[in-house]
Amino acid sequence: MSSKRILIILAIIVAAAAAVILLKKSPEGNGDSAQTLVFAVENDLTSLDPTKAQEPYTLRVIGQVLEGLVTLDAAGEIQPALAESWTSSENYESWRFKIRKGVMFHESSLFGGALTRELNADDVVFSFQRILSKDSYPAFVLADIVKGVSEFQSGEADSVVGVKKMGDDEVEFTLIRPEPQFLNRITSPWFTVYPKEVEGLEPGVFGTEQLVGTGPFALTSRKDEEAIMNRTENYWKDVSGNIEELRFRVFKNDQIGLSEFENGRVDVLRLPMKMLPVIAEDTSAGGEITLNATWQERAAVETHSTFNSHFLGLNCEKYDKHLRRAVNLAVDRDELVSVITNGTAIARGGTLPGSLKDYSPPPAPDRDLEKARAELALSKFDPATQDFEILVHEKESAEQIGELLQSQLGELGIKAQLTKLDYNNVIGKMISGEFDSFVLSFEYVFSAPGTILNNVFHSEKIPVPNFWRYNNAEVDAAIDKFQTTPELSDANVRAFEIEEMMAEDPPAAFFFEKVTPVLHSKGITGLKFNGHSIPLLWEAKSQ
Amino acid sequence: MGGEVSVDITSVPLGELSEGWGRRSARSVLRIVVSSFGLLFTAFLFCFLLFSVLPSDPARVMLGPNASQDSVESLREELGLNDSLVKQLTRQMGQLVTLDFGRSIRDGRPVLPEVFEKFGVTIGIGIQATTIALLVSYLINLIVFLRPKFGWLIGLVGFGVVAPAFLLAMAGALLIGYFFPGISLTASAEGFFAPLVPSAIASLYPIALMTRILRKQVEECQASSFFRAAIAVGHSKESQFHRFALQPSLVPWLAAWINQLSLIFFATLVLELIFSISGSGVLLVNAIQDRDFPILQGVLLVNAVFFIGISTISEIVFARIDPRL
Repeated sequence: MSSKRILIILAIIVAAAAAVILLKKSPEGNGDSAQTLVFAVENDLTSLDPTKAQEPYTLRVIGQVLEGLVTLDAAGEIQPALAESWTSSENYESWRFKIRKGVMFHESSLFGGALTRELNADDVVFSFQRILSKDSYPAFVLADIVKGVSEFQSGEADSVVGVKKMGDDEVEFTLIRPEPQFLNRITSPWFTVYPKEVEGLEPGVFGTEQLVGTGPFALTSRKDEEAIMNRTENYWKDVSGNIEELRFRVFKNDQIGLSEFENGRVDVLRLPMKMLPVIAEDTSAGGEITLNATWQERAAVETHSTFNSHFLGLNCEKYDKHLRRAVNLAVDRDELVSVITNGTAIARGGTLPGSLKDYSPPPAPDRDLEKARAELALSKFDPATQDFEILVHEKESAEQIGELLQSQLGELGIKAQLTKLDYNNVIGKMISGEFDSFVLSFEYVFSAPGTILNNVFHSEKIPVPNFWRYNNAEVDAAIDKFQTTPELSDANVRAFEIEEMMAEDPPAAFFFEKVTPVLHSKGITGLKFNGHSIPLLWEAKSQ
Repeated sequence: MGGEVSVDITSVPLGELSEGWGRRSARSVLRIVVSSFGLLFTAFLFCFLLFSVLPSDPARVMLGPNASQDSVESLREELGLNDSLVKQLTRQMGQLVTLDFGRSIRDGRPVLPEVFEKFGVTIGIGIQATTIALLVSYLINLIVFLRPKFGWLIGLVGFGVVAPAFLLAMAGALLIGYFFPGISLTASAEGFFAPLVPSAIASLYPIALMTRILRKQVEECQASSFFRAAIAVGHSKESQFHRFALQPSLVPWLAAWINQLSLIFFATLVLELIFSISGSGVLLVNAIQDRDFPILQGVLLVNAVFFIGISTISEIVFARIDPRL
């Protein structure tokens, strides 16, 4: 073959490749393809089994397919879902749910030739027994409140006695102690219902090859990198949205996610804080974001709040309240908000998020180094001779936060040392008590203040999840009173008082509550999220 | 011609040659298998000990930071994590030998199908990338041989050696996103070109290396007497390249190819993260982070089998190409 011929063949190959590339395929996203919505998620969708789901992005997907007894709307109100109504005993120790009639499961081979069947109380009991099994991740949420969970998990009992079928369409939960805000525990997609036939599947199949529920969308395919679902025909509720096909597509790299959004292959993208300067002209606390001129033409941005709290946890068994107060007064929350969240987060002095229904947290304390020095002088901690270690890890900008704290505490005379470990090792050290302090954030599954405060600050919860080993009898007694506080407004007042009480004896330096910016194409309207960060995509419209 | 000594290779009985080759190959293959399984066992032991000394435990990772200590203890008991280290090691070894890895402790998926699936993805990228490298390095050398004024092409592809893999991958992906918006940059994308993008980026380093190796070999051949003889006899330029430069260079060139096929397995981790590919690199990292020992075991074994396979094939292929080996 002559060299000229080789070069000609090469030129033809290159030209053909260029032609194929330039003949741009019509994009799926940005509303161009009618009623298809592509939603970016940040990591592999390895399993959609709610009992294995550990991260919010998995729950965002599950929340479209599976439904619970009750749900949380965008305004933070509890709404009936598979339970059409419920009643509690007078002392709030037992809760009875009436299961909605006429709700059909998505079509599946699980049901044999019939392909589908109606939801019943057996499915609800089966699902909750499965949720409470010993290898279920979300079991912790109900393990300390529903009767008989520890006996079930230790093998002493075959089932959880606190979850009982009371008829074809009634299920009763019996609790260990009164809890007026029990419903606020079961609003997350962790507590969703699936058919009893799942029992016959091999372990690992539900959530990977099968995911059958009653939700507004039915799963049609799942790969680790993409889950595709279609709108459920004859869904039990009238919904306003018009999205027919929903694709959750994985983008592990933020820049690639943004590039794909620009090129029309993604409709909705939860924007990481570090990408904000690329698209925003101006930001303000609480999540007001003005897009720059380039992005204003292409997209719209909205923010939503979740039940989160970011903090430096302190070892209360090791450090007296004066040292903990000193750290609180030395922390510059404004700097943390500005550097870590581009000014979008809201500074907080307590852990309860302002996104909880009708709750207004106390104002965050201002930085006051003079007062901090006075508190430090009263404490037994001697910064000249004692070390102060801050544990950081790979999640939620913990290392960057640690560096800022190191510098801020340095101004107080505390020479903080950063120790970076992987997240699970940090948790291991926290549980064993081998720590001085740790940078962490919580994404609360509870949507009421009483359950949050009880879970993380009551001395009975030491060492997990009262990681800071906080033991304050006055606070314990105040938390116990939530058991007899049925009205949410009263519970909010009580929670405010407890947060003020804890400011005098803080277990941590709480910094801020984050808001999440969501970039979406202009053709999408009605995009809402609830406090669990679940997008209510059945209400969204694509134009 | 009385004083001339000539050796005619065709006079060696074929059976004798192949028998000698067979014995040598069998010895080499056995050596590879023994050393690879030795390495596998060492890696397995290292991971087992590492997992047992880390402060976090798999049951805690599985149930999360909020689970009560009682719940974690129940699960530890069920998973056999409270057994003595010797008992645990014996059990794990038994699983390794019987190829019964059970299920992932993270999400309950059967280990081997999961590991095979992810390996398939990574090996697919590796094979695509090295095949691209093989073709491009051949074409560049051919072009430069035929038209020496295109010698700058060798220097151009040399960029693949000096630039770090993550920089190449990131810059490559963003440039493709900018100039060719029609090409999707995700693993879930459909269409002929989409899966080729990560492979093309992964091929940059092997292209640079293999182009240079082949070029060096070709230059050595060009300086040899048999090459001058071929020119004198009147072989065409293409024939000179293929018969008297490429053919004698096959062993080092293909050895580089095999070597790159093995190495690219490690290089794809960056690509898996950038292009959201669910391959074995991410599986391995997640298994370590989640303390998912069954998955880790599976990855180690399949990894060892893959390298044994590659090494064995290369032994056989090289012996075929050059019986002196």
